[in-house]
Amino acid sequence: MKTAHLDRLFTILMLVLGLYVTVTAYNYGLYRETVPGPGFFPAIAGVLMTVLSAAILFRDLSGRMRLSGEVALPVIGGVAGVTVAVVAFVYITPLIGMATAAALAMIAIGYLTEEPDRKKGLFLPKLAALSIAAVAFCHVLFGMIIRVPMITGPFGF
Amino acid sequence: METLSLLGNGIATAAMDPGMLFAIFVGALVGLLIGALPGLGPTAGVAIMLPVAVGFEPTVALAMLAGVYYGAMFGGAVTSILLGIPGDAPSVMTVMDGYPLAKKGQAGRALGLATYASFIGGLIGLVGLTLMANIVSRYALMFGPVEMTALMVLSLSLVTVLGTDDHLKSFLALGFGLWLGMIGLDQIMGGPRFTFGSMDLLEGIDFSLIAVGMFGLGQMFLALEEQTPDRVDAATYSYRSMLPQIGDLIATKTSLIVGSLIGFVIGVLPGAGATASTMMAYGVAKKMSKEPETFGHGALDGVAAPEAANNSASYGAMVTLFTLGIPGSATTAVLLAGLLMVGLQPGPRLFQEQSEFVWTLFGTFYIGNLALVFITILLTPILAAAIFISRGLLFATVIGIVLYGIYSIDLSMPALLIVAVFGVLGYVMAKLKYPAVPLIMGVVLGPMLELGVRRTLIASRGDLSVFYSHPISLAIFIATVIILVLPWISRLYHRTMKPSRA
Repeated sequence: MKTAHLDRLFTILMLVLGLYVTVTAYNYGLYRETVPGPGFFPAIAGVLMTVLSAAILFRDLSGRMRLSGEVALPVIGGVAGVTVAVVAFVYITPLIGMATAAALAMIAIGYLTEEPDRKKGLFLPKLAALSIAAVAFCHVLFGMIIRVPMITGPFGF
Repeated sequence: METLSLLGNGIATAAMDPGMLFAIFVGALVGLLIGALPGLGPTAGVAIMLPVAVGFEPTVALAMLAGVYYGAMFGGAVTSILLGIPGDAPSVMTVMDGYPLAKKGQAGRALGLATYASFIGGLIGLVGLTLMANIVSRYALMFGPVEMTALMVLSLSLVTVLGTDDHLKSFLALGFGLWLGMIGLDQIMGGPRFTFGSMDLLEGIDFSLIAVGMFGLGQMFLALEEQTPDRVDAATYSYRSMLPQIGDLIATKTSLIVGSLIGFVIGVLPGAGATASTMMAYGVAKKMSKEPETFGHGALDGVAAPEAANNSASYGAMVTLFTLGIPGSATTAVLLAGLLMVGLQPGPRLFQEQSEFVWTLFGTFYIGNLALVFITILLTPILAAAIFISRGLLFATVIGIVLYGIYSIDLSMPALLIVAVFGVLGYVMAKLKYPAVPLIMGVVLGPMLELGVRRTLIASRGDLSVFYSHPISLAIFIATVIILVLPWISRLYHRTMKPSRA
């Protein structure tokens, strides 16, 4: 994906968000008698976002300033993969327990973020061993030392 | 004298508490590693450690977090000198002369000098922090809501203008941050704003989640674009060669002192940052040198000045954080999150109400700065090897700790979803050259600014003249206008001058 396209997409999103914030802020009420109401400050933020994103979009479309380069596919895959792994961890923890879910998430994250040519040989066993060790360390640190109640699953951890 | 006595007590308290010493050690160690690892800077390090540290008592937590911050400043130099690869942005200038020195077979000498320069810079920065914190906090007690409001506007303007050349994106990031900070209940009227009907959003988005997402996860995503080096011609050295060489310290004394002072002043200035201070210190050291032609080819001053500057800047940046409650950089913004999470509100009252906490914490900084000299020298081989750590193994471990840490803050699993969202946002914004500091400052200072302005206007019954009838606030507002207008005038001047010269 080209960085310039991502930039344009992000600017449009900011423009839409800015307009939404401005309109919503206006509905909250800009003034109550003579003092600023709940919508006054959000309106400033909204107008700022709208005007500036419009200016950036204009600058981009007129070709005055455009970002070069692109976001490589493996990077997009890595970012998406890690995000999905974190989301999956949130939803599967109540079912299988925090330790198992964390170990699985860590293995997935480690595999997805490693460079392709380095995934050979003992990488996977090392990753699994490290994930289990890190989970054990976290259980000692958070569960025993800081005394945070952990979410346990059918295996009791 | 009083300051000296308070500091003495603080150092003694910290030195006699094993928990505190352990926190300093852990923080410094993590900081050194973070500093040595390319792609992860001090902000990412402090953000990653934040959820872990806040589980401990306040002084231990902050000693650990600050340890990561100043530890990273020491660590960055190791890979810069031995491998020519800067571990973090503030150590970029150290490569210029550190690596050529290493290639000449003087790696140990350069490493030793960088470590002692870091110590001296840190010490000068600490003395500055100690003196200024005491003075500023006393004067700041005289500041009312109007002056504090003016100061917040000034800080927001400084971080937005100084942080980047692209002011449009910088101000857009600020606007976005201000809006994020307004999500939740209105502080005056009590009604919900931008909560989209969600009960979870009534209390707003926890600032620490934004910080961990944007600076921790976001920076890691950004590091996915970098390649782990397979084999680099690392320079060799011996522990003996890293021992202090008095001759080198005397030869570089001017650069050390000037670098430290520049670092401290730039550090105090919101938005400028440690990296800018190293560039300025390097430039000044080169100008002051009798042999400027040696710079870039292994000049000792070229190592001493930036290393002294970045360490001094890290303490300079803490002045406004502790005395006014206003962070001047991304890392101090994350430290602010740490302070708020352990139930402390930084500002002039902190020195009155939590005097023991402040001075013990400052005491840990002195101990940490000294301890880092020994830890850095001892761990140099490990730090140099850290660059070759498998990315997958590193990220899996760090994110695993973050998962546990974020859950531990409020025993909330959905908090991790917020971190994930801000992680992606942090990556996208960094990729698109949006500075993150104005955003995070908008989140932190926005609600405080809104509350200050609205309360003041309620008290004055809507009379805006309260803001400019106070001389201090008027002066601050004038300074703000100058800061905002100056880049435009400068651009206009350059545009009109260029054609006329041509």
